[in-house]
Amino acid sequence: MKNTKFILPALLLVAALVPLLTGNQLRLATELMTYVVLALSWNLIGGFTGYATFGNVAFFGIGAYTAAMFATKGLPLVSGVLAGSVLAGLFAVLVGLPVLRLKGHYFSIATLGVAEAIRSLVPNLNFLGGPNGLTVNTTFPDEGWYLVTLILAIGAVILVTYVRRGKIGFALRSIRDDETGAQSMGINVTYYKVLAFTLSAVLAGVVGGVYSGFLAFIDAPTVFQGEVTVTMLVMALLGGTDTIFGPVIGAIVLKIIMEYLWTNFQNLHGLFLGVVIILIVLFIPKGILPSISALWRNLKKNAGLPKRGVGHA
Amino acid sequence: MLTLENIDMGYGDTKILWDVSLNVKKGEIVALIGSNGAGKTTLMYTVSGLYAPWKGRIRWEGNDITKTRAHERIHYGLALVPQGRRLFPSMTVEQNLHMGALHRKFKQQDLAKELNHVYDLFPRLQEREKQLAGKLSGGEQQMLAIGRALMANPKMLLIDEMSLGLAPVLVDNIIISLKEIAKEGITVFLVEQDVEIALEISQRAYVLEHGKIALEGSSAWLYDHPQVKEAYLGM
Repeated sequence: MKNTKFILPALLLVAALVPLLTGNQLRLATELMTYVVLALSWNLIGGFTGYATFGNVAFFGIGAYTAAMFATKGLPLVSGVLAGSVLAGLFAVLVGLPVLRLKGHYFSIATLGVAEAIRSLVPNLNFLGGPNGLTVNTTFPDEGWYLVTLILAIGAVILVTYVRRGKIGFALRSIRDDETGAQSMGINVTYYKVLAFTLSAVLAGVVGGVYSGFLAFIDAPTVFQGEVTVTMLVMALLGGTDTIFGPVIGAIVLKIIMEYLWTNFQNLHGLFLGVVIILIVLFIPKGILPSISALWRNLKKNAGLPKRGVGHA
Repeated sequence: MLTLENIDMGYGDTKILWDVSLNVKKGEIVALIGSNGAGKTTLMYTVSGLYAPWKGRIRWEGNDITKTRAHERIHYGLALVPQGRRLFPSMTVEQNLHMGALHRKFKQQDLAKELNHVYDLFPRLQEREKQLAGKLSGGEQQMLAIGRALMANPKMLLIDEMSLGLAPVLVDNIIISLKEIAKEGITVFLVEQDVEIALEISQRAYVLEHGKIALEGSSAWLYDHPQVKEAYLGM
């Protein structure tokens, strides 16, 4: 895509807006950046590779819990975040090797099962705080959390761009298009699938670790919530899964819609959100970004042609 | 060059291939013919490594490759043109061709040279270079599938059901290209339901019936064989 060079300055512009944001807005912006990373992470495996995971929240939660554990032991949160992302990546290799043999719905259900199992297991483990969760004491200001998540979002965009445009990206696309064809063309499909799953997990793990510091308190129902997976998945689909920036745009649009509905229709916001998702799927099934690109191409094509009706006055 | 020794293969409880042995020598065009459900594609998938045989051995240039995984066999020079083409529909024609060479290490100019070589064989593909593979006609897709396999720089092409769903004119064009490919020294092993086409291209052929090799011999001899005539050529 040619618009890469506009997106990074745009993100930097967003960073410059920090002093203008206040309290609640700043926290919303931090959550938005967190979801930008999660949507990009989901797209690596669910979009590029075509393996729709319903369990990516597991990696987010592992990142969050590892970081929080480090913090409660008095270790710096940074080390916890790093450890959390490594652990999430290792877990992805371990789970991915058997589970990525499954295809289509079977893969989705298996990943859902893994995530739900962890969510049920964690509150029963006393060393992880049991049902009470974990508290992270930090004095980091809200502006700081926002900038950290913004930097992570930029980093995620760079990583995804690198993956997409290189050899890995083509290998992943070939797997999505036709896995048998990819195999017969010499693509080690197991390697590339596990690689995509692991990269996805590492991204979700990093942002999970940061999120635990931002929230200052985590428990299993919060960071292993199935809704988190659904949200990142819808964001990626909304923006366009066959693109680099689709998930970023999807995250921004969906977050704005969600916040608007939440503040205006507190009781019915879930209903309206459902309707919005159905409308999106019906009218822009390929996602926002590919639809805009198609529209733009059509406009350009038509601009080069003589206007209709000329000479027929 | 390629030797199959006593291959048994099947799915679940159902045995498809029964003690199949065959060989393909360097520079030959060899066909495997047989009706629907005879086990032709199963045999092709076994040779290309997508399925592992139950019993028996596959030898390639003297080495045992029975346990070599599918994506590694292409490094040995064994490239499959699968049934149904199995292209990458979201990629352009050019990108599909590049995919055939993705596993190899080489210089940019060599890639361009090989790409042009494929375009010389199939000028139609060059015309469609920037189009999505999913938007091509059946014949163009088959050309692309063969071109993609050629980009792997193979010693042997395994072609599964090339003629399926194609108009006779297109099949004739592809046959001409295949003969050119063979002239360049690439060995061709093809599996074909259309017996007339198969026997026209090949020098030697095997007849697979219910998973067993029923007949083998030169294509000219098989063409006049009463059993083949009656069962496959309708004469």
